[in-house]
Amino acid sequence: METSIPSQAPEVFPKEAPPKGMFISLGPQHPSTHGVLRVAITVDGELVTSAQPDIGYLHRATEKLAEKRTYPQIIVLTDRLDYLASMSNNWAFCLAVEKLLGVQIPERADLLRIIIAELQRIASHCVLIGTFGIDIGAFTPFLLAFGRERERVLDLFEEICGARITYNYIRIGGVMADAPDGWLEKVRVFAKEMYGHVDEYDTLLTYNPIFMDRTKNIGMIPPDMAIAWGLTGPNLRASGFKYDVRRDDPYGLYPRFQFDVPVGKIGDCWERYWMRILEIRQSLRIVEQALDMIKPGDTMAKMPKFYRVPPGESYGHLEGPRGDHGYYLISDGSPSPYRMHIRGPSFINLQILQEALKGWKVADVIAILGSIDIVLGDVDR
Amino acid sequence: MTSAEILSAVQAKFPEVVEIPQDAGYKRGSELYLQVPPGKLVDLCLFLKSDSRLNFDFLSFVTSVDLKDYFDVVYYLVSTSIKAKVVIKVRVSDRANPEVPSVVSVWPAADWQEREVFDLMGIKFPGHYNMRRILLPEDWEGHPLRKDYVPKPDRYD
Repeated sequence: METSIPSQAPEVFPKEAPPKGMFISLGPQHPSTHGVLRVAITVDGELVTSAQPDIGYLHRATEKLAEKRTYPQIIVLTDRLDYLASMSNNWAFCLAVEKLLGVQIPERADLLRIIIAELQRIASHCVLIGTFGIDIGAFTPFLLAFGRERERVLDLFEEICGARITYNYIRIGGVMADAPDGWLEKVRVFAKEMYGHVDEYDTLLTYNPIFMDRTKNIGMIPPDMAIAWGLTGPNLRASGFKYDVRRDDPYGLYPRFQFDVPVGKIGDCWERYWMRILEIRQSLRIVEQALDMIKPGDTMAKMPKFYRVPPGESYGHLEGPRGDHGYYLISDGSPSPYRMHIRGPSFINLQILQEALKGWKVADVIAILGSIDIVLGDVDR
Repeated sequence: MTSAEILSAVQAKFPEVVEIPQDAGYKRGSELYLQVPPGKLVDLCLFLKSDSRLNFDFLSFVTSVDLKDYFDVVYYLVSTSIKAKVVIKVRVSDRANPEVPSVVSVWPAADWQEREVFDLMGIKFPGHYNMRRILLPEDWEGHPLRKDYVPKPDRYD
């Protein structure tokens, strides 16, 4: 694919107005940016001619902090990255450390991880369904997806680990604690009822003519452009590119599971949204299979109380709700990593905005930005 | 394709590219680790991406490591069609003025990630169209991920 790289990028803080058109600063405090993100946009009439996201407002130097923390302490830091998918972050980090340690995870812990991670995906996609609706002007789905179904998942998480946002539940070698009595049955009841709720979203939002008018055939991203810009997760699959870490580079016990990888056709805003709806159904399938497989057993591998991670390097990654989330670790044998790099899917997904907004109307900017589904904690790290 | 086949395909075209040997007691994944001189990086990346047998279409991440005597710039490539993974390392010895050619023209995914490396590690990427800080303020002094970085005390210290 030929990539059109400009010779010079537009200024984030221009000193004078562009010769043609107008300069608009979207954010850093704007209801639809879902956090502190600023997009410097120049428009000609109603058409966007250039867009420069301005990030870093939430930068907490997690990679530097990690160099001064022990490995179990870093799990706490990972909670704060993509705060809508903390369980997936915990797991991705533990995958990287476990590769270095070479530790075998008990089956029950691995299945609990899968149940938790898929519930986390459902909760995270519920946030997108709610907030994307609000961005476009539909308020009701937010009350249902965000206020009702996501709350139920958070209640389940609270019951298993005591926290609602920053879980620190998946630990190196297993999980923090076994599921309390009756928890798995509650998950089964939730999974059964959730299918009906997803159908409800379809009638409320997915096939709503006003919503479709605002999102169909808007912000198309062709597949070769998507993969060249490093897009992953539902955004990439909406473009018709079938790549899912669970299927293509499996981790945990995913090879045992039957699930489909939904893909779109043209990669417009509606299909990016629709991928989330389809993925919730697939996640529910995985949860139900895991509930059928799970048997009593250990939830933590036999590990010494104090252990040293051997020297080496590893990359552990998984399919988070927003895409390929990974940790690249370099260990020198000391109690803390020599270097930790975080591949934050939101950060890499967001950069395509520079190209994806060009040529669309100002009103579409919010639809395109909302459909990419970023979390600023993960963008700025 | 196995790692050995990828290595021989690469070395047939670029004899100066070598596989990084694995030291005893050093743990590593199943990826193919390649050491590339900075001058050959862009040509190698173009070859890896455009060769129909290899087709490394996905640049997963770009990062850098400060190893005190030198910097390593690390590229993690994935071929989604043959499911292969390659880690490319470029060694930069010049600590005063470290430079590695930009691969933005090959994968636009490198755009912000190279800016992040510049911002936090201070490695410049000639050929990048927008080599500015991305996460830290424009007037920040120093590059925090370097091992010899001394943070300035602020009002909380």
